[in-house]
Formats: sequence, C-alpha cells, structure tokens
Amino acid sequence: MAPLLSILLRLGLGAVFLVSGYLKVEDPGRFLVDVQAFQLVSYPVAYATAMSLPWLEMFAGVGLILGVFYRGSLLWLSGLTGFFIYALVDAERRGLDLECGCFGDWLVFPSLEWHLAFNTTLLLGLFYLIARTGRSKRR
Amino acid sequence: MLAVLTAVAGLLTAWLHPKAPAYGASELGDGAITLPLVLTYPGDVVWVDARSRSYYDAGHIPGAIWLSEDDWETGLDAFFAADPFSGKLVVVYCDSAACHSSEAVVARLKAEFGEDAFDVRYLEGGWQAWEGREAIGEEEAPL
Repeated sequence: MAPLLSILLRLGLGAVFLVSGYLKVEDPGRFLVDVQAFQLVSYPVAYATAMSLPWLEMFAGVGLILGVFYRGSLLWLSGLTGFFIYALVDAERRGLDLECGCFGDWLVFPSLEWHLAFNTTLLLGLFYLIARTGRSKRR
Repeated sequence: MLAVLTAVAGLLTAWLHPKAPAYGASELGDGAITLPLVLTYPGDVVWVDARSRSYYDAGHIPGAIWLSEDDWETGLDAFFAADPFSGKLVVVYCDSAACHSSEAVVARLKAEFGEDAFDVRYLEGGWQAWEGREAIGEEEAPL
C-alpha cells in the first residue's frame, strides 16, 4: 500500500508543480506583478524570483515524476510551499487582497482557507515522500 | 544541480522571453505603478483622471477626480477636497500606455507642491488597464 501511495503522490505532486510552473513561465511579466503584490521582498529579489522560480517548479516537478534529482526536488518544493504558506498568512495579516498567480486562470480559490488547505495538503504529501526516502535508505 | 539549471533558465527567460519585462520597467520608484499594486494597496488611494473632460464624462474610475492641464485650477479644488496630503496614495491615469498626460500631471503636482508633498504615481496602462482588469482576475476595485 505504502509504495503505491508513494508512486501516486510522486506523480500527482509532480504534475501539480509542473503545471503550476508552466503557467507562470508562460507570462513572467504577470507573475512579477503577483510577486510584487505580496510586498515581501525588494524589487531585485522579486524580479529574480519571477524569472526563475517557475522553472524550479517545473524542473522539480519533472524530478518527482521521473525520479531524478529526487531528494533535491522534494526539499526545494517543500521549502517553496512552506514559504508560500507563510506569505499567504502574512498577506492576510497585513490586509492585502491578492491573486496568487499560482495557476493563472485555471484554478482560482474561493477563499484564503481553501488556498491554505490546498497548499498544506501539498506540503504534507511532500513531507510523506521525504520520510519514505529516509526509510528506504535505512533498509 | 537544480539550482544551477534554474539560474540558467531564469537568465534566459529574462533575456529572451517575449513577455518578460525589462529589469526595472515595473519597479515602483520611477513614477509608475501597476494596477494590481494599486488594487492591493493597504491604504487609501486618490484616483486622478488626466484625460480630457469629454473622456472623463464618458467614463472614469469610480471616485476619480478630474485634474487635467486643460483646466488646472478647476481640477485642483476637487483634488484638495480629497485630502491628498494625509498620507494617501495618489494615482494619476490617462488613456493608455501610449499617452503621457498622466506623467505630465504627476510632474506638475511635484513641481507645484514639492517632491515629497504626497506619494503620487502614474498608472501603467492607464484607463485601458482599468477596463481590462477582469482579464487579470480583479473584479472590483477597493475605493
């Protein structure tokens, strides 16, 4: 059961991040606006993030699906997802009304709670796969 | 390895992608501001319409004050009534990205009242950006 769950999570999570990254790669100008809207980082950091982060999502998504750079992909995606959850909560605290830019117009969450639940689920799935990686090495 | 691939891809995107903005093109501080940033601004915003009166009467951003170089003194009365010196963000717009009357109004406001009298910017894309805002996911603008 556990190996099947791992495979399904790898493929599912990999596909989610692959699509998410692709939609941002299509329009980096729009994604830059979305990053700036969080008002968390300086312009140079926002620009670098907008140009490169979508590619990291895509490469790591492919990494999960194909099993290449597997552990690195898991760690990068966990870090990105965790930071994004923090950014959403911080934006809510500061009263910012934002569009995430995560999935373009394909997926729009009806509320912040749905958004957080979705990303928390992704993060838990990633943590599970990281834990499974650790168990596989100890055998 | 992932970091290296990402960095290379990011550089190529900034250099070659047709939809990648030039570095600094959308940075706050050069006088311009984008619509999504205005709509997510946590404070009060004073909208200023710098187009001709006929365009303003035909349609304008809700709550916008008409202030054009065509009739500067008349527009200033309404502008002062909006209390722009109390820390609000003042955003001036004209018709589109191709017009420059909003930049001219920003420059004149700064020249007459001082660079630091209030935070005044011109809207990138102008009125056309406002009309197209539903295409970028914005349904209603906070006033």
